[in-house]
Amino acid sequence: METKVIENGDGAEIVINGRLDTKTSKEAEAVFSEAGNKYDSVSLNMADVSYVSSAGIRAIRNLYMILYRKSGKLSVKNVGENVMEVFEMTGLSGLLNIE
Amino acid sequence: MTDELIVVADDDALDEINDFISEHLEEVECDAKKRFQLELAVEEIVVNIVSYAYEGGEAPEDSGEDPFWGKIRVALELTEDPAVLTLSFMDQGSFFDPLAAEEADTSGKMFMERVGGFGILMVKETMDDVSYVYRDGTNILTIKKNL
Repeated sequence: METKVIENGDGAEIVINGRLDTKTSKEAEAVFSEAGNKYDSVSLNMADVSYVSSAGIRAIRNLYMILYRKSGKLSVKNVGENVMEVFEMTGLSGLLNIE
Repeated sequence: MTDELIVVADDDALDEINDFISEHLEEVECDAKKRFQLELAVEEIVVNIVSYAYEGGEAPEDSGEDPFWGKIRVALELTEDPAVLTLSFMDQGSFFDPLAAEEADTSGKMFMERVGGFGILMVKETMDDVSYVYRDGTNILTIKKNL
C-alpha cells in the first residue's frame, strides 16, 4: 500500500494505491491523521484500491471523525465495486460524500 | 473433497490460510467478487482469533496435553453440485461466540459511535451461512459460501 498526499488550496487529496487491510491500515491511519489535522478538506482517491477490510474502515472512520469534529469535509472518489460493497455494509456510504 | 490446515495463531496465519483456500478454489469456478468476499470474511475471522483467542499467552494447566493450543485449525469442505465452500475455523482459546455480539446497524450510527463491530458484520453480510458452536473446549466458527 502506498499513499501520496497532493495539496489543493485549503485541502488535500490522498491517492491510495493497494490494499487497506490489517497489515497496511496502521500506516494509512498515520497518513490520514496527519492530513486530517493539517487540512479542513480531504479527498480520498481510491481508484487503485481493490480491497478494504474492517481495519481499513476503521482508518477511514478515524479520518472522518477528525474532520467532523472541526466541521471539515471528507469526500471519497473513484470507489470500485468491491470496496463500495464494504462501504455499504458498514454504513459508511451514507455518511461520506462519494463522488 | 475435504482438507485441513493447522497453523500457529500468529501474524503469518492469515497468509497461510489464504494460500490454502486459494489452492482449493483453483479446482472450481469462483468469480472475482466471491473470491473478494471470501478473502474479506477470512481476514476478519483469522485476525480476530490471532488477536484475542489466546490472549494472555499461557496455556491453562488443564490444556497441557492439547496439541492444538495456540493454533488455528481450518477444516475445508468443497462440494461440486451444488458448488459450496464450507470453512470451519477452530481455536482452543476461551469461549467466545462472535455471533452473540450486538447486532451491527448500517445506518451510519454505528460508524459514528463505535470503534469496532464491523468485522463480524462483514462476515455475516458476505457469507451465505455463519454458525458458531463451542465443543470440547474448542470454538468452532463455520462459514458457507455458495460458489
